[in-house]
Amino acid sequence: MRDALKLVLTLGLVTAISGGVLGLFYNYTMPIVEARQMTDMIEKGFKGVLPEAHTFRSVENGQGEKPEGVTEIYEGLDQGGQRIGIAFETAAQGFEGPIVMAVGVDPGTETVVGIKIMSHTETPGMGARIEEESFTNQFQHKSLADPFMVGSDIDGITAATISSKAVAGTVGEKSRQVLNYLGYDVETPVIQEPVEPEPVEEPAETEEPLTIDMVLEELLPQAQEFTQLGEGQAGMPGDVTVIYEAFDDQGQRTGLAFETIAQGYGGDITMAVGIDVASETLAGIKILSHSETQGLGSRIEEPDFLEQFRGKSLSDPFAIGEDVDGITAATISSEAVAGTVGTKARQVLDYVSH
Amino acid sequence: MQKYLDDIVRGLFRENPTFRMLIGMCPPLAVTTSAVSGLIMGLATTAVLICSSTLISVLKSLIPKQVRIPVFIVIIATFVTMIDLILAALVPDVHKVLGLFVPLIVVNCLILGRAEAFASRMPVSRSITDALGMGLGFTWALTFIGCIRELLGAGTLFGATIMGESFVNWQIMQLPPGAFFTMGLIVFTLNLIGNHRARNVQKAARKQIQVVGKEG
Repeated sequence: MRDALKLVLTLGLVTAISGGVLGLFYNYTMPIVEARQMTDMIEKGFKGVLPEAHTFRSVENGQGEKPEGVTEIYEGLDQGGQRIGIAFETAAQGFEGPIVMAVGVDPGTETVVGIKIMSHTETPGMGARIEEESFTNQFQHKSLADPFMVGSDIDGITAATISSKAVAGTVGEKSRQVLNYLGYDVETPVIQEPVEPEPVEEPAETEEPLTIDMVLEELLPQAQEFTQLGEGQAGMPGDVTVIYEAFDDQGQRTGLAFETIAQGYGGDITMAVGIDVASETLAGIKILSHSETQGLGSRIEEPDFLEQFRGKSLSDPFAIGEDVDGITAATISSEAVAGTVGTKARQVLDYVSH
Repeated sequence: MQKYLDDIVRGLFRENPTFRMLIGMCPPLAVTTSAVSGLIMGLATTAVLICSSTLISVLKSLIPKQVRIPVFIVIIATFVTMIDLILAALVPDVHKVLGLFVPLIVVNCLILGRAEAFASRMPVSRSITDALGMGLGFTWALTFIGCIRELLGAGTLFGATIMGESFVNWQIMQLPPGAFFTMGLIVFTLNLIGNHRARNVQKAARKQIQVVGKEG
């Protein structure tokens, strides 16, 4: 028992002394390490982003809370001791981890003077290219009224969108916050979504959605004249919104066209259907609008799928896997279109004939 | 006095920890990509070795036998952490290069081995000379491997370009296999010399016996 106690005491004493000694040592060395990191930051970072400053002085006090994520704020002074800029250290959340950077801003003109990436852990050859001057130089003398958005006023790095966006967004946001913290009044610009080259045309299309009157001639090319049977008329088959009658040059009714809605996977699928009255077959169908999954259900728009309905007899079952080929991984959308077209075409033909 | 000198020389050559005893093999293989990092790693290990051997030798009568190994390890770990902090504060560039290998000195079996085999049985003064010899033996071994790997792998020595422009770096010497090749060849050569010398000594002894026999 006494032996055991002795062992415990010895080990306890040894570890306690060891802990104490290391604590003292740590307290002694840490200020040196931190001071050196700070000189590193000033020498390698702040001098690069505020090249005109002669000396740097730490800024401790500001208005309200120090902006989150901003670790150090220094003011750059010229030889006469006048403040010519602010340099601060902050970190952006990159793809792999924090991207530590030094940012220099000019409060007079409300511009970013320059930025420098101090450390990061982004993927070599991709995200790591945020270090390159071709990227960082874009921030030189950039107005804080700019949105700092990759794709609109900043060119991102190919295949490193997250890293580029992280740097650009953080530089803009933190620069404004730091200046506001120091008592300058910088307004945050109203940030608009970047207009990318591709979608430019699409919004124009969605503003004016396709309606059946735009595609009538496409559905029933032989017809000369179309007459609307009346919108929302009593007795019309459910979900059928508009019906057109098509006449040839002798005034004979040759076809019918109608607009209907199928319940797809992502929502309503609006489509226009053309019927050849004489042969009781489909003349063609056209998808007017839908909200199916891109690349899956959205393929109901493709001609490969739609062409199957051209010339199809109304007495066919309109069943996927039987007489209609569905779209892989989009069974619900395919079935909705096929089933609805079949059912509604028969109902419309019935309705018009009586 | 002779004893102390023997202690030092023994660690340097006859019982060189890296080339003869083959203990503490992790750093000789892992950090010897350049002469400088080998040298610094060796000196850091030597410092820890001397400090811990001295302290353990001083405390040897106070440490109960049953807990001696944990106590040794705590003492070694304390010195290693101190060295690590000192390197970080004074020579940050070196600290960056050595990285994880400094904390790993704790588990270098050379240090624990000398504590257990020598310092815990011998007087303080001899423990210091033994630690010095072993540490310096370890240091020159690491530096030597580092020189070879740096020269062949990067064409430089202590950072200075040695090989001409036309020299193509043997990249593999900078990679882990290079450490094994170098290490193996050095041990092979040293064993060859050692065996040769042993045979000569035997021959000389036999001759002496014959001479003595004739005279007698």
